[in-house]
Amino acid sequence: MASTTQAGTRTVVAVETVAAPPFRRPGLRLNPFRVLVYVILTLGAILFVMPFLWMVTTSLQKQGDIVRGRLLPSQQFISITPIEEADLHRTMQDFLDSGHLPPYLRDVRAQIEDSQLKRSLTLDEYLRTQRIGYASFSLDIDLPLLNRLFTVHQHYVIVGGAAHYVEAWNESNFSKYFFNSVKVAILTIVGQTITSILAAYAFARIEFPGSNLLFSVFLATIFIPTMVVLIPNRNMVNNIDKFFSEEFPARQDEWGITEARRAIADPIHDALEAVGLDDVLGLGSLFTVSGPIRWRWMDSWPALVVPFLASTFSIFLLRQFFLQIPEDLWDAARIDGAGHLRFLWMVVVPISRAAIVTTIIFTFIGTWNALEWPLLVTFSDKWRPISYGLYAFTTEAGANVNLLMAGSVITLIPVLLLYLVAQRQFTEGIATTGLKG
Amino acid sequence: MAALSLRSRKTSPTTTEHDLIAGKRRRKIREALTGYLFVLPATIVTFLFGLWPVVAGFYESLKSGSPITNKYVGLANYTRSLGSLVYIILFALCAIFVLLAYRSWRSAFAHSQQVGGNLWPYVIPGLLMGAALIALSFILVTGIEGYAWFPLLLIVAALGGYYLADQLQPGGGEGIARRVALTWGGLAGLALLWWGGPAVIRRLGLGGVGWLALIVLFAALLYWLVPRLGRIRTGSYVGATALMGLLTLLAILLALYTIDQMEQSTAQARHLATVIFNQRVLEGVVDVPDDSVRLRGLAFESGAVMVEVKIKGKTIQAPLAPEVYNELSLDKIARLEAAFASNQKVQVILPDGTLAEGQLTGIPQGEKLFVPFLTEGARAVRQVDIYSALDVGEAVVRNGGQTEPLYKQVYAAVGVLVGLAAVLAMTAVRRQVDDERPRLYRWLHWGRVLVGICVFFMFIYLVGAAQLNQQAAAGMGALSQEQFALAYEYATGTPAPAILRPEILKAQLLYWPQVFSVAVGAALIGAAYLVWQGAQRRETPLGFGATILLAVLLMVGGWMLISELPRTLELGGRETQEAMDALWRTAMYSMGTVPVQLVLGLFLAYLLFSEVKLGKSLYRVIYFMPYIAPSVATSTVFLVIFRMDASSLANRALGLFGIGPLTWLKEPQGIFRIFYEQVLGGNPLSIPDSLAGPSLALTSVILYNIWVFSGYNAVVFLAGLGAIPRELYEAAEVDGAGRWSRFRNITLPLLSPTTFFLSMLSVIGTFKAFSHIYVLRGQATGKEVDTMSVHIFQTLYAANDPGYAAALAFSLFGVILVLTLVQNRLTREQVFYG
Repeated sequence: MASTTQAGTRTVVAVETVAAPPFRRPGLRLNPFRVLVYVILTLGAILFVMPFLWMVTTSLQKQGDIVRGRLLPSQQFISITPIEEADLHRTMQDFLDSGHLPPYLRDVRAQIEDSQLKRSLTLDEYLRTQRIGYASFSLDIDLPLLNRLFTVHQHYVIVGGAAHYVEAWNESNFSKYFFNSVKVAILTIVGQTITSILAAYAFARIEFPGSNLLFSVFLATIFIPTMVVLIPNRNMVNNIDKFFSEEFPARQDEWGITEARRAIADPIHDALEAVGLDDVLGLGSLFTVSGPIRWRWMDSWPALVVPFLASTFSIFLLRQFFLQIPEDLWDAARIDGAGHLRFLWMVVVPISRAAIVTTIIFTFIGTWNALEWPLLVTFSDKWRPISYGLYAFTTEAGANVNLLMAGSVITLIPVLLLYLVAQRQFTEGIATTGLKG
Repeated sequence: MAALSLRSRKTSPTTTEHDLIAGKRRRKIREALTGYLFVLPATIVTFLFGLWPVVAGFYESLKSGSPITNKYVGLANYTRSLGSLVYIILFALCAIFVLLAYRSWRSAFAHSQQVGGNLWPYVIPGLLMGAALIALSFILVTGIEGYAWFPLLLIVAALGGYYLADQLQPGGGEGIARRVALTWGGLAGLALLWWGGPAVIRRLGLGGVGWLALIVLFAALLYWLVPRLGRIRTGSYVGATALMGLLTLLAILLALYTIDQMEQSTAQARHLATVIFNQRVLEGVVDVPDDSVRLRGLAFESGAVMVEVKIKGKTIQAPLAPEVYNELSLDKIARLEAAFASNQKVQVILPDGTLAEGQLTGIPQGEKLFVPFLTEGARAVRQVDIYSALDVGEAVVRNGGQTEPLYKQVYAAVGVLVGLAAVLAMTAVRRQVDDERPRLYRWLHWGRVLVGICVFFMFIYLVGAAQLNQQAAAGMGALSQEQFALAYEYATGTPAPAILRPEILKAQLLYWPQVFSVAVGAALIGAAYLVWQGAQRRETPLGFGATILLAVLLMVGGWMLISELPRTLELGGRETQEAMDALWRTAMYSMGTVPVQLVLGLFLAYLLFSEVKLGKSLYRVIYFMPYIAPSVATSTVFLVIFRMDASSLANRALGLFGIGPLTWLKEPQGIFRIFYEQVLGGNPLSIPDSLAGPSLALTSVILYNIWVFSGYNAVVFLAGLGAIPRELYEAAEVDGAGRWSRFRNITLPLLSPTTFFLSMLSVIGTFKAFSHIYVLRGQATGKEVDTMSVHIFQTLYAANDPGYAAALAFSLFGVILVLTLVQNRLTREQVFYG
C-alpha cells in the first residue's frame, strides 16, 4: 500500500519537474515562509490521516489497551499455530496436567494456575473470554463443480492483532457482506458504465432533436433529494414482483412470450443446467417454460442494481470529457467508413480512459457506501451489502471496539486500494472534466 | 412525409438536387435515431427510478400510505407537518402560476401587437390544450382506465381551434399551427394505435398478421413523427397560449383543491366548536324560577374558586373551572374575588339561559360579569362544571361557537379582488374619457364609490369571519383535555375519541384566519411597494413625505400580519414541532459546515498551489482520502472517536487542555453553553436558549463533515486555481501588488465560479446528507443529530408511515429548491465568469 503511494508520487513529481519552465529552478529554496507553509500543510495532512491511522492501530489493540488509552498496540501482530480440533475442547487443566500448554499461553501460565475458574475452561472458551485476539481458522478446500474432489480441513489458532480481522471476517459475517457488495458493485459498474458512455456520447456528439431538453431533464435529477424517490422506488421494486407473478403470466401467451421461451430460453436453460450454472444470479426461472416466471427483486440483486444502472453524474462527467475530443478525429473516422458505435469503441473509449476510471471509482464508492436503499430493500443476509453489515455491527459490537475497527478497515481497504492505484487518472479526470464551465 | 417532400420538390426543380436533399434528410433521421438508441437505456432507468418517482411520490404523499388502509387523504400529511403553512404555500403557488400565465400571455400579446396579428382567437384553444394536458397527466398518474378518450378529444378540439385561429390571422398566420396540428395529430394517432389497435385486432381476429401490421404502422408513424417533434418551437402564439391555458387552469384547480381541502380539514373543528360552545344544548333541562336563585359568595378551597349557588332552597357548591384558576389567570380571580367580597351585583346565566343576580359592589361601572355554566342540569352543578364563560371567553359563548363557512368567505375574497380590479379599471377608463363625456365620467365616479363600498363591506365580513374563527379557536384552546372530553360527551352522547385533542382543533380553526392575515399582509406589502414607487412622482415635499409615510405604515402593518406565521407552526402539535426541529437542525448543520469547509479548502488549496513544489500530489492524495473513503467506514471511526467514556480519543484530546470528559454524540446541550461551563467555569444556564448554539452532538457531526469535505474542496479549488492565467499574477507583481492584494484582487474574483459551484453543491449536499449522520446517531432514542433526511428515513423505516414520510420529503425538496433559487439569485452578481 505504502509503496504504491510513493511510486505514484514519484512519477507525478517527475512529470511536474519536466513541465516546469526551464528558467525557474526546481527544488526547494528555503525561505522561512515556505517552511511555515510546509509545516502547516504537514500538520493538516497529519490531521487528515490521523483517523485512518488510529483506526488501524485500534483494530490491532487489545481491549485493555483501548480502555487504558494506549495509542499503539502492545501485542504482537500475528502468530499462527496449527491445532487439532479436539484440542480446542480440552480444558486448561488437561493442558497443565500434560505439561503441554500452548506456546502462546506461556506468559499467562501463572494466572491460569492461580484461578480455579480459568483452569476449568476449555481452550476455546478461554481464548474467547480472555479476548487476547484469537480466531479459530479452518481451511476448507472443496470444488463443487468437480464433485468435491478433495477436502482439507485444518484448524489454526491465530493470536495477536491480526486475529481481530479474522474474527470480524468469519464470525461477524463480513465475508458474506463483502462478497455481496463486490457482486453488486461489479454488476452496477458494468451496467452503468455502458449506459453512461452511450448516453454521454450521444449528448456530446450526435445531433438529435430534443437532446438539450433531455440533457437538462437529466441534470435536473441532481436536485431531487434521495428521500423523495426512496419511497416510490421501494414500492416499484416491491410491485415488480407482483407484475412478474400475476400480470405477466396472465398475458404472456397473448404477447407471444410463451413461444419465445419455448424456442429460445429452453435450450439455454438445458445448456446452463448441463454446466451446473442454471441458477446464476437467481435468473433460473427466467430460462424455463415450466410455470410462470418468478423474478423477485426485493431482497435480491436487481433491487440493488437496476435503479443505479444510469447515473446523471457519470453521464455529465463523460460528456464534458467527450466534448473536448477534437472534431478532426470524428471526421477522419467517418472518412474511413466508421459509424458512431465503431468510433466510440475504437477511438473515444481508449482516449477517455481517465474519465471512465473516474466514473467507475465514483460508482464503486457509491455502491459500496449505499446505506438507506439496502436498508429498505433487503431483509436477509443473502444480498445485504457491507455498508449494512458495518452499520449493524456498530450496535452489535458493543465494547469490542477493536473488532469494529477491523470491520471498518475491511470496508475501507478495497476503495482505498482502488483509489491509490488509479489516483493519477482519477485526479486528472476530476481536474479536466469536473469543473470546466 | 408526403406533404413535405411535395414542398421540397417545389423549391428544387432538378431531381438530383432533390435526391441530395432527401439523402441528407434520411441521413439526419438516421443520425437522430442512433442518438435516441444511444440514450435510450440511460433514459429508461433515469425516468423509471429518477423522475417518475417524483410524480408517484407526490401522489403517495396524498395517501395515508399505511399498508392496510392505503387510502387517499388529501393534504392531511402536509398539514401534519406544516399546519396552515401548507395552504399559504399553495395559495402562493396559485398566485405565481397566474403571474407566469399573465407574463406568457403578455409577451405573446406584445409580439402580436408589433406584427399586427391577433392573439385573441388563440386563447380558447390554449385553454382547451391546457385542460387536455392536465387531464392527461391526471389519468396517467392515478391510472384510471377508460377515460383516455377525454384528453384526446380535448387535444383534437384544441388543434382544430388552433387551425381556425391561424386561418383568422390577417397575414395568413405564422403557419406554425399547421405544423403543430400535424405533429399533435400524429401523436394522437400514435396514442390511438396504442390504445385502440390491440382491441381492433382482437375483435376482428386478425392474429399474427394483424399484430405485425400494427407494429409496422406504429413504427412508420413514429419514424414520421420523430423529426417533427424537434421542430416545435415555443414562443409562438400556440406555445404561449397553451402555456397560459395550462397555468391558468392549474392555478384555478389548485385553488379549488386547496379550498376544498381546507374546508374538509376544518369542517370537523367547526362543527365541534358549534356543538360544544352552543348553549342550546341545555335548553329545557332545568327549570329554575328567577327568584329562587341567589348567589351566596365565594370561597377558596385548595386553590380552586368555589361558588355557592342556592337553587330551590338547596345550597350547591360549584368550582369555577378549577384547572384554569390553578394556573395563571390571577387577575381574573382577583377581580372576581373583589366583586364578590364587596357584595356587588353579579349576573349568572343559569343552565336554562335565565339570568340570576347576586349583590356585589366594587366592579367598574357598566361592566357585567357573566358566569354561565354549561352543565347537565342542576345536579351536575354540584359535580363539576365543564367550563365557564370566563375560561373560554364570553364572545364564544354568546356566538355559540358559530363560525362562517369557508366557501362564503372565499366568495367574499373573490368579490373583494374582483371589486378592486373593477375600481382600478373604472379609474383607468375615467382618466381616459375625462372631458369628452361628462355623463359617463360622473357615472363612473359613482360606480366606483358604490363598488368601493361593497368591497369595504365584504372585507369587513371577511375580517369578522376570521375573528369568529379566532374566537372559537381561542375558546377551544382554553379547554383542558378533560373539559373537552366532558363537553364532547355531553354534546354528542358518545365519548370523545382519544386522538381528538383541543390543541389540534384549535390549530385547525386557526387555519383560515392565519391564511387570511398572511394574504392581507402580503397584499399590504405589495401595496406599500407600489405606493413607494408612486412617491417618486410626487412633486411637493409634503406629498412625498406623506406617501413615504403611508408606504412605511403599510409595510409595518403587512409585516405584523405576516409575522403571524411562526405562531402557526407552534400550534401544530408534536409532529410539526419535530419536523421543524429537524429542519432547524439541518439548517444549523449546513451553516456550521459549509463556510468552514470552504474557507479551509481554499486555504489549503492556496498554500498548495502557490508555495509547494515538492510533494504536491502526495498532499493532494492525502487531503482527498477522507472524501474517497466510504463514509460508513469513516463515520464508524468517528463514532468510536467520539465515544462517551473518558478513554475515547476526543475526550483524551480535550483532557490535554484540562476539560472534563464530554458525552459528544449524546449531548443535547448547546456548544456555547458547554464552552461557558467547561472553559470559563460559569453557570451554563445563564446563557439563553437562543444563544446556546448547535448541540455538541450536532457539532461532532459537523466536525466529521468538515474533515471529509475540506480536502475535496481543496482539490477542486486547486483545479480552479490552475485555470487562472499566470500572466495576471506576474503583471500584478510588476505593479508591486503584495501577496494579500494579489489574492484579494485576482485569485478570489477569478475563482468565484468554483466557489459558487462548491457552495451550491455543499449546501444541497448538507440538506441531502444521510448515511454518515445515520451511522453517527447510533440507535439511541435521542434526536440530537436527526436532520431532515434522517427524520424522513426514520418516519419511513422505523415508524412505517410512507405517506407522511413522502410529504416530509416533498417539504424538504421545496426547501432545497427555494434555497437553490435564492442562492442563484444572490450570487449571480458576485460571480465573475472569465
